[in-house]
Amino acid sequence: MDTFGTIIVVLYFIGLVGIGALASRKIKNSTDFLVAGRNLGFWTFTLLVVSSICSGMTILGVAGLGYATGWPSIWEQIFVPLCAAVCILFFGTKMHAVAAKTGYVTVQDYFAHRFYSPRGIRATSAVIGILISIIYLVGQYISISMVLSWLFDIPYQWALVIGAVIVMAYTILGGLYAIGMASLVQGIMILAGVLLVGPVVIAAAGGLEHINTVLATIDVNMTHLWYPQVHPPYAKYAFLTPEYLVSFFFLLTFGLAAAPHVVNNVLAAKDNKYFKWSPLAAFVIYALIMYLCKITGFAARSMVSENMITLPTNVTNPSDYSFIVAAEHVFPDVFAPIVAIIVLSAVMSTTDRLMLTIGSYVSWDVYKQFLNKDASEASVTMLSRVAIGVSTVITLYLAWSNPPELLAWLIWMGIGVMLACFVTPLFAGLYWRRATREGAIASMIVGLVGISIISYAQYIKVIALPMHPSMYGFILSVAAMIIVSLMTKKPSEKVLNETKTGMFIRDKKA
Amino acid sequence: MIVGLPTDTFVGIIVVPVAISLLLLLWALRW
Repeated sequence: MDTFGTIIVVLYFIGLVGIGALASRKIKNSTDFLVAGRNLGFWTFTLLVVSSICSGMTILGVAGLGYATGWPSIWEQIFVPLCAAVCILFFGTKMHAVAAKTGYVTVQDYFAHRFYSPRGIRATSAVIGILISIIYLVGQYISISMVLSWLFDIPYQWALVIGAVIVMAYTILGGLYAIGMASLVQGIMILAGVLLVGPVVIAAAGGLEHINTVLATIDVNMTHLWYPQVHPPYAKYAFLTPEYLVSFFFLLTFGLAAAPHVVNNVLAAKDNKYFKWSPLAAFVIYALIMYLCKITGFAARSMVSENMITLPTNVTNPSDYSFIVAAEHVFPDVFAPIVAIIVLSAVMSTTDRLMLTIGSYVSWDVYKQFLNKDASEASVTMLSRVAIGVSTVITLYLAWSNPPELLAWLIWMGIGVMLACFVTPLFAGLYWRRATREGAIASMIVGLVGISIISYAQYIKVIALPMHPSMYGFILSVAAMIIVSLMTKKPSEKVLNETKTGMFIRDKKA
Repeated sequence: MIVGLPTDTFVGIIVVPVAISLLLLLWALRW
């Protein structure tokens, strides 16, 4: 990238840190820092949920998977946007209404209340949440470094430090206020950028019909909705079979919706009425972005087939560069910073939220609830900031060497653990009055142990399963919740009524 | 074939997101 491009990207970074500084003026107590004073407006809230999910995977990985597998991967573009709607509608509507009265700061507060377990379930859930967030964060930093080192031709480690310092700066300064405001900017950048880049790349590749014709010549199944149900798949890229897609649905739609850095956002909305239109707005905006990214990946595949572009060969994951390389080919150099900003916005918007999630779990769920119940507001906020700093250092250490293959497996496992551990307690807690504390703890632990064993067995090739390993962990966690809940004493009516538990999404009488 | 895709693929990629959007619209209208 030339000097002009570098200046634009540096200005963008300065703008983000400026947002952090601006937001820091609003921070008066820990609630301001951790849940933005429960004061986020409709669009800030909606785009916060979307951009927390919209990670490095969304731009690079989505186009990359499209490049490698064709149309069968389009389901990802339906399931992931649907996860934003599921999170807001099924988890958010009720939890926000309860939190308005109880003052929850994290989802652990809800778990502790609903499952009348101020220590056991809070600790289990917080520890699993911190571990998942760190694993996921490593993946995000690798994405940031990949983009920065590619665009600026700087060493991977430099890029890692630059990316980490920028995100850490505005997150530590302004907490969720800064993240919310940055998400608004980042969300608009991603939407406008993808709307600009996608159609131009698709047109340059010869238009949609031509792209599809080229895909069909590579493998006719690339133009179908799924690959044939053959196990093991007939090619490495042909894994999106109907059975696998079922597990993909649960993994992406429910696993991501229950992810700590996603579901905690529902506590920050200013008004419960936002939950009326926000699911639709989040789904439509996100689906639009993702469809365009995916088709840009198809376009890149067609352009490579016709020798219009060449992907880098000295990297472990060439297909993930398809979006950047195709955009660089089509646009004159002057547009390079736009491409950089789109990708960086997507990666940073998840990174910041993950860092704050770790900060809030450490300061609020571990320190305030376990170690020092009388901790002052100032000390909780300060500890959140310290935890964000420490988690960044740990993450940088883990991401420092070039990403090993094990890491990609760990990141997918991170989403899998969310499905196997958090989805059942959340759904059962909100909608099933018979769900008990013991059932919730059992479902989390059985889910975690189940997915760990099955995943590892699959990784070392002891077993080969047709679905994603998390699906089996999820089924085990549902079974554990039902069996253990029915075997243990029913929760008190008082707790169930306070937490609005029952087979309804919204209590219209309230 | 529609835009180079088998008809069922084309219908699938349009119908599913539209159906989800309609369900979410229904949720908002019944609020």
